[in-house]
Amino acid sequence: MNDKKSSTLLALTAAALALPMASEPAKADPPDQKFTLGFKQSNYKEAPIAADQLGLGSPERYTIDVSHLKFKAPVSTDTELTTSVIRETMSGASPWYVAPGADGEPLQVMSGATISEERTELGVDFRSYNSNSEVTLSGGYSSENDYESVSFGFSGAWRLNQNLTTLSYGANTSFDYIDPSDAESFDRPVHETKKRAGAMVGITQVATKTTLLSATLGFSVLDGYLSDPYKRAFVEGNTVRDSRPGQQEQINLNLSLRQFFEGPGGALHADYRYYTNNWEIDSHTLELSWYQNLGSDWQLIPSVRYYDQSAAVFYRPFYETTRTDGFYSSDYRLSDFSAVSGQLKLSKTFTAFRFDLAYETYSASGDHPGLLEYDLISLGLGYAFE
Amino acid sequence: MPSSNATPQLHSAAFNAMGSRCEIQLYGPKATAKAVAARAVECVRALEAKYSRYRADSVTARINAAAGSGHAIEVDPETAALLDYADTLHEQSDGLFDITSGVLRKAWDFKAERLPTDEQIATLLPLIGWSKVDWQAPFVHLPEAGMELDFGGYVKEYTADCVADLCRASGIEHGLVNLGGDIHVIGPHPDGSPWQVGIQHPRQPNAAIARIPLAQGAIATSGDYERYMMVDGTRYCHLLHPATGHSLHPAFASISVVAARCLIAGSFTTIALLKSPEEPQWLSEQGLPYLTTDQQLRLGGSLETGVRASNTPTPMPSASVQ
Repeated sequence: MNDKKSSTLLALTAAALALPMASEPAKADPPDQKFTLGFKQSNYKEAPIAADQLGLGSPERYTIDVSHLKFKAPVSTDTELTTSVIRETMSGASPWYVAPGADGEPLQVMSGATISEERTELGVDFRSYNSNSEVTLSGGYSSENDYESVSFGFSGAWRLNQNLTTLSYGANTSFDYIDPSDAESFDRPVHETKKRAGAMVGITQVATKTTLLSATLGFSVLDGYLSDPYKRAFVEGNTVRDSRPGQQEQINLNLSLRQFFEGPGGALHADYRYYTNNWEIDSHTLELSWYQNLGSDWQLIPSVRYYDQSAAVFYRPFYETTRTDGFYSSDYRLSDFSAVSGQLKLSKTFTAFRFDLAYETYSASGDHPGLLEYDLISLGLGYAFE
Repeated sequence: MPSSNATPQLHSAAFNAMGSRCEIQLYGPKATAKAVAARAVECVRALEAKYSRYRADSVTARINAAAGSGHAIEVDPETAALLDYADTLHEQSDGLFDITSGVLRKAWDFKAERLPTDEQIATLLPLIGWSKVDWQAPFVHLPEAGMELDFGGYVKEYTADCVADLCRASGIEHGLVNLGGDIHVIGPHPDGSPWQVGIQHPRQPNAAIARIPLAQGAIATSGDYERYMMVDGTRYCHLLHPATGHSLHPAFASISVVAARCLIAGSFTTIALLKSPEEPQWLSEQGLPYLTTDQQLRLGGSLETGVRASNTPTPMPSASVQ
């Protein structure tokens, strides 16, 4: 074969490679036309409050058992319906307010260990797919004796650039009704409501055969009763209701990297999240996970997460003077703190069956005496059939 | 996770599209294979609708309708890449593969079995010539009223590649796409054995002249038997010379080429047939595996054939591939 002739193959191949789909497309995620049934049982246990940080009440905190059942079924060749039920039972005591100790140090006052609650959540997702785009409509309802919530969502994605780029978007809203128990005895508000509306846009790019990059930007507005009816704040020797602004705006940005390494047969998942709201809470989260394939469809996933946030502008552990704006909250979730957590997960997939087992331990540190430490154990089972 | 232990089932879909008998054969879990096959057929229909000369809403019709108007038509990236490909075909075939030569069908009526007059051809020749086309991506304009583009010379091969890509992207590893003899193998049978591709006998409809084992890649076949007429004992086929407007007399009755992509394979079969009166050896210098059937029905070329049946053609079942 002489040079001029072989150049025909080169020229035609080069022209063919410019055609869409002539290069290997990234795998999209079409409905797999399978029925899948998933069940997950988790036990979440908060560590007791240390004796030197406890003012009054029980040191024992929440234990929550969660059962999650999910069922996905194809509706047509390009649509599927997912329904899920979550059942939670919780018991234990929760932080009530913070009072100054003899030396002015903050001490946590706990509610009596009498709380015993159940929560049920139902969710439905309807997903419709075609070769270049997909949309999902979602609905949810959650109920417990003092709280009800209804939510709706709409999300979608467009796949562009021979499936190498995915643009995603979504909007969601929820309506909550809060009617605290024992309101009269404990000076709690009644018949409160809360609304939430949010929207997000995202982009995911297949950068190389083994690298995936994505960025998501979200914005939410909350309106209504945003305080915690079961918490109080210590102000000049008295306690008052937890009282926060009736409006909050949130912005969050997520950046993630998925990098597969062929040598060890594993993938690095790196995620950074930035969150800010108009109560002046800023937070940063960095999470690193390693997905190691072990052969025979076993997978081991260690991960670590670091979290850091600043306090809300009106937050104090307790108040020595009254505030002109009337906002008071000593909720540890509004305080300045950082937290680390580690998780180890093991999973195994059989032909139609899979299971996973995970353990997570979390510890927060800061100046609030009620900051959390918890352990979480979960077992997941899945079954797929046609 | 794919159910690697389950025995995959073969799912076939047969249909007519692009003027040909088409079939898609996929191995996989039944519901998955069925859903992917349905999407594959949809993909063929979509590309047929997009490039059909016969549909007023097609890209081809839009470009042709604007011929001589002075208004350039803006085309989408896929069409732009196909026009760039046409430019490469024209250049690499020394002008023989010309997507503007389709207009000659107005003179060449193969069904009527009547040769065109020189006058008929002479009126059409000014409308032919890719080099006259004003193509500056993404704008294309045919300068003379009556000029026509025809993607029919390679869009079926391109479609076979697209459909195979689509199936692979949906997780299918074993299967085959056959659009009227333009074949793209997604992957071998689940046991690793190759597909046996029947090569159309150029003189006997529905008979195979050879079988080619193919585990991967693509194969395309063209010949003087696809559209032709016999006038006074001479065969006039659909291969027309864009400069003279006359039917070519190729040195081969049929040519098959194997390549990674069906578009490439089909381009080589067509260029090789167009060049064969002058350069019958051209294909043998290209480095691609091929099979030729000459006018005396002798097989040649570098491909390993399962059956060499030049004198006793084997019957070809409706599915030409096993």
